[in-house]
Amino acid sequence: MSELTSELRRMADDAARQARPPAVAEIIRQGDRRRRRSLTRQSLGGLSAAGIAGAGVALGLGLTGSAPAHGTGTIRTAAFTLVSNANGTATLTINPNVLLEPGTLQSDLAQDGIPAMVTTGSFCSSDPAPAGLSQVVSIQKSQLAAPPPVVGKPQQRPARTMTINPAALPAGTELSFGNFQLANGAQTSYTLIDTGSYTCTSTAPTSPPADGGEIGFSSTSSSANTSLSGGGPS
Amino acid sequence: MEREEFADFYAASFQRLVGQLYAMTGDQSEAQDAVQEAFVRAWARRGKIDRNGAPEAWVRVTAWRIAASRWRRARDGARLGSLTARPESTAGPTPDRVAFHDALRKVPAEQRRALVLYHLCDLTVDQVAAETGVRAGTVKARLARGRAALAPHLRETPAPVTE
Repeated sequence: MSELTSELRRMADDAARQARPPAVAEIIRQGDRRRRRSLTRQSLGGLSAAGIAGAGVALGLGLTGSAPAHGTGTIRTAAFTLVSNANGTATLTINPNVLLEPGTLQSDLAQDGIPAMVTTGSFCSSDPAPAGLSQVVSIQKSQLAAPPPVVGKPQQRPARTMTINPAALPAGTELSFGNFQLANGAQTSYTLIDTGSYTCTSTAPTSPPADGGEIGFSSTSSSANTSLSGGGPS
Repeated sequence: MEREEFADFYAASFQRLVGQLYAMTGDQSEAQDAVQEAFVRAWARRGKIDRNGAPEAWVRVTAWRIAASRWRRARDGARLGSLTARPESTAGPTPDRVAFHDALRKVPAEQRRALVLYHLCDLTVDQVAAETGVRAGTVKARLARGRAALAPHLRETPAPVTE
């Protein structure tokens, strides 16, 4: 090793030892905020109308397209649509007719600054569940009409929508989504979890979690009904 | 890049990158600030980093640009004087080392960057050229000039530059 290399290395090592890295969570939080601002600027650049129109198409058609379409703050897949809103919230529409791809939804939520654990065939929760879910998630109450029945095909169920406000997430928490394909349809349960303490179960919740909710499907007759219920503090 | 992968990358490289930036800029707090900001941008633009395939080099280049940009903005103010003439708080204990640090700080910024990338980061001339956006010949010239400026403060003559 040359003397020049040794001197430079010694100098850099001294400086590296003195460096005080901030918590990675803080870096991620700032990066997420930066990304949201960037997406907002893009949306305000004249493309927001196209984004909203795109979301509308996805809501109406439900099953159209299979590849994620990234762009103007709207991500659309067959299973869900995620729209970044100018106020920092995100609107998530889940199509109950299509099995969720957990990795895709989790990664797209993360890119929108929403830390989440998305699983299929299991559901993770904390006991006790952190408070504050009602500030983070609000469910769109209006019912969308189900697509008209097609002879010889199963009844399509309407997509359901929730608005997520990542700024309201208490520190050390993230959202948990558990998607199950049950005999009578799909069910997605959600709740807030403490990232430092949670357990996962492969049994689908039979009712909405005490501090969570369900975007699910129940069928007690020949016609399909979508149930959407939220638990916890309101 | 997923959250966990990014956290591992951050933990493994933050301090090393601060060391490298410090050697390039001669300012500990500037190096820390620039690297920190570069990591924030790295997470915000992680899709780009995934495509780039060399995250550490991406953060180093970004941190250098951040530091250089602040440097340029400060050029007309008192900050530049403080950056180039600030007494070195992390200097080694010997007068020789203090003199070396002072000499390095007086080497023009792009020469210093080339010296750090080649001698500290173990990049080849071609890799330094790619990272700094200049031709290999320019890198060799910068290395030669930088080393010549430092030669009086070194006991041995540095080996010639190899490709």
